[in-house]
Amino acid sequence: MIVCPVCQHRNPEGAKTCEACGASLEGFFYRACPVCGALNPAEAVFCRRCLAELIPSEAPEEPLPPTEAEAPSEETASTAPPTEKEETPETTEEEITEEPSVEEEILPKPEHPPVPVPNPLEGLEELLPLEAAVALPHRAEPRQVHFPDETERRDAELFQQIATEPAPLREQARVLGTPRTRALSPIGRLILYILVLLIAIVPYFSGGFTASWITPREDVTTLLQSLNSLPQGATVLLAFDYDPAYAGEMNPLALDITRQLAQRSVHIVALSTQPAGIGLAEQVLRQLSDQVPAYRYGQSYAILGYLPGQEAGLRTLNSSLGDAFKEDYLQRRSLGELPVTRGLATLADFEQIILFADDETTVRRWIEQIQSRNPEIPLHALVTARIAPMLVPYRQSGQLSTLLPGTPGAIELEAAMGRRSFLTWTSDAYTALFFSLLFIAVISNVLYLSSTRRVR
Amino acid sequence: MENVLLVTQKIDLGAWIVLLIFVPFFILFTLRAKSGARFPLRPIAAYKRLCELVSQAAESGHVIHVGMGSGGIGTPATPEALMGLTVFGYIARQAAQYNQATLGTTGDPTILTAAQGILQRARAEAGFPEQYSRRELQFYGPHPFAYAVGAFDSLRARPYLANVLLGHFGAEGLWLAEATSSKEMSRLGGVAPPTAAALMQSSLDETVIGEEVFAAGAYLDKPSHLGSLASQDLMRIIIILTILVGSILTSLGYLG
Amino acid sequence: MKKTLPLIVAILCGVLSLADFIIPNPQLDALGAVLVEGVTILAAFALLLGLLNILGTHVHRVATGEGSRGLSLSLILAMLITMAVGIAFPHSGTLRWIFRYLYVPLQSTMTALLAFFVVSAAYRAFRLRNIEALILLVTSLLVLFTQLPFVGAISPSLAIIRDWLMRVPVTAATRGLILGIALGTIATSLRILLAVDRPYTGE
Repeated sequence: MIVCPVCQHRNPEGAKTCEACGASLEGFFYRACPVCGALNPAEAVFCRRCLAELIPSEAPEEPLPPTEAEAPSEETASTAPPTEKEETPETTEEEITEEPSVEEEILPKPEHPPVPVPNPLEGLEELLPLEAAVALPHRAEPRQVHFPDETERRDAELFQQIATEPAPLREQARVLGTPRTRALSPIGRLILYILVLLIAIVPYFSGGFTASWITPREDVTTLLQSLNSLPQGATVLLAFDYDPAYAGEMNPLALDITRQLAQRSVHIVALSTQPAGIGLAEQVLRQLSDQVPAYRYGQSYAILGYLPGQEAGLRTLNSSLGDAFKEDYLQRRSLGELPVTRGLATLADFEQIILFADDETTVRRWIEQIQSRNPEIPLHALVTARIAPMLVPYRQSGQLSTLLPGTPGAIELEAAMGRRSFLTWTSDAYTALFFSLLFIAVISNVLYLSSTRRVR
Repeated sequence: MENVLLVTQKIDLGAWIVLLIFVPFFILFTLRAKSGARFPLRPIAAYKRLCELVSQAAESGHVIHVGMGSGGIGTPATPEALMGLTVFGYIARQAAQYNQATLGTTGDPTILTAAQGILQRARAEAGFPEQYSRRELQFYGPHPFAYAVGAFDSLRARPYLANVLLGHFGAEGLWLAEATSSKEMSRLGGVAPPTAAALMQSSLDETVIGEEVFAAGAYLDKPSHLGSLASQDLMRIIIILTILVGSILTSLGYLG
Repeated sequence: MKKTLPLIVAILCGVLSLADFIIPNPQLDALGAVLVEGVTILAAFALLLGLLNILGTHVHRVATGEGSRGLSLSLILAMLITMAVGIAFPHSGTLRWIFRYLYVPLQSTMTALLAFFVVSAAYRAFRLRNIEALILLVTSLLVLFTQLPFVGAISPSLAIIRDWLMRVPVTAATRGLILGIALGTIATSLRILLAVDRPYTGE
């Protein structure tokens, strides 16, 4: 039967509209249990509460009064009059004999047939005037048809699945578990890890045999041209927006860029919108100062510090540099005192912005808050290789002047600058990685296919 | 008047258009959802599996680990972090109802505080307020990798029924996903940024990526989320049509 | 009142922040700045609570001997020393030393360990269980190959393929995902703003 969601009338199986109120029953396919009244999903074969069968031809045709629907089955058995008490076990017994193969798997067949429960009030009619009241069938509040939500429906479906599948419980658990691919054995894992370790140390031994073939991509040459076009004494804003976790990938790139700027006597002003980024800026720029002694703090470069507030913080940069930073980070002097920051009032005083980042949100924030408001200042994004593909749309739209992925970018930049360092040798590691993954793919599939064949 | 003009010129027109279209539909659909209207949902394997796992946990008494990621309230990852809280809330309520243990881990202190409140409330509502324990929620440090290492350790220390990772994850998501790769347990995850999703998808059994993460509530136990999901879908259709019309008009030379 | 007041405050703050974002007005900007400052302060308090949580957990471990006592003790010591140095001498060489020789290498190590996990995940993902796995395998090997720094020297057309892969399929998928995420973010934010959903309260 189908319970109408509007008037709660119980309609016969297959009804499209409610017999009582005419409401559409399309989509409402919950079936009330003829024994206990619990609602079950349409496909359910057994009631999820009392396990009574729900198939219409075998269920009693006449609907039960709603009052009984609410009473839990145990209560009905103990307090209802004897006629009803006998009805319930009978129905159950019938079902068991009809569908033994399924039912036996789920519930063990009771060893003894159900014994009729004697009326506890028998022979006490004279003594207890309450008998009439007690013997009345329990009348609960008319059941408010609870419309099962997604979870309950899923639970019902799950229960139905368990109840209808004649598989033993252990099998059930396996059905519930995801068909997992077999985990890697500890030895297999160890072999893979040793392989990774070998790839990492390749450049120490290979001597950079692929280095001479490196061909810089278009963005590398564009960036170099852009940096080389800067006039002497121009100022560039550098944002060190990456975490120390990515220092290994980003520091060499940052050092290459700053060195190129320093050699052309371009001034650098650095900041970070990440607390730890400022420490990295200090580390890179100190290293630069060691390599190019004429490039000194305050004269040629300065670190403004950490800019909190994310979007809002960046927006303050748009209005005035002085609003965002009262003093520099290292010497705690006002921006007017330092020669390198003296003439800087707004972002328009910077020739270019170079952003080192490890997170696409950070780059997006710079584009939305800074680039969109200052489209005339080129914004270069030098990011970790992991996030570079996500930023290609911005590069294509021209919002990013150049986009360079971490280590590959650094390798190609060094090659384009004509430098041959250990960094260019890591190109050999990339090659080794490619061939190793090719090897892993082959081995993985050979083992996998042979194991599936064995299972078959 | 000049000022007004100046202001309107500076106004972010795109944001206004999106909001003006989105908000009315959002309100309309949310009201409909609240009044009992049902919107059909396409099945998402990970959420279906999550519901099954919760039932399985109730039956077997096993614990589900929920990793809520390292995003916090007040950061750009707030929406994802809140979805992590939604999933934790769902699992915590179920666990509380059956008086079972649960484990939530986070890499953000704001999420820790919120999750503690949720768990406390769930335990109280289920009638076992004394069962609330702070140790069911672990915070390992405000850095993504500190979180990953801490959670990695505790995931390996005990057997769990499932490892559920939903929230904001970066590369550290792979750490947590791989932490349990050698164990016989279900591993589900959800992460919005495609960069992290790519890593986690290669490791987990079931993954939700991108916007599917924000649908968690609608698929679990919050019918109020259905309305916003429907408005989101309508908005998507509008965007698709706009792109189509825009590209046709551009190809025909009408839009420059 | 106990429930309504926080709700009103939450909605008000949300609406003000949104207004600040989409309406350029100096007064709203100032108000927005105050709110952002408030969030920063609240986050700092939350961080303090989080630190106390960590401290509590590890002090408990040291006291009861649960887990590794030595590791818990070193965590507490490292935490207290770094905090003391950072607060007392924020620009000192000691802090720089801690940052440069402890913090950065430790973090870099964590990132480097990902390489191991990526390879073991790739091992499983590369198994040809279905057509998707085949596509994944072919695409990843192709992308990896075209990303080699010297691929242009092998053949210029490989560099063209690399750029095309990034420009067309990757961009198309990324744009779709970004749009979807943006819609999801707007919907989630609106749910919070209009108090349809309060995940932070567990309702």
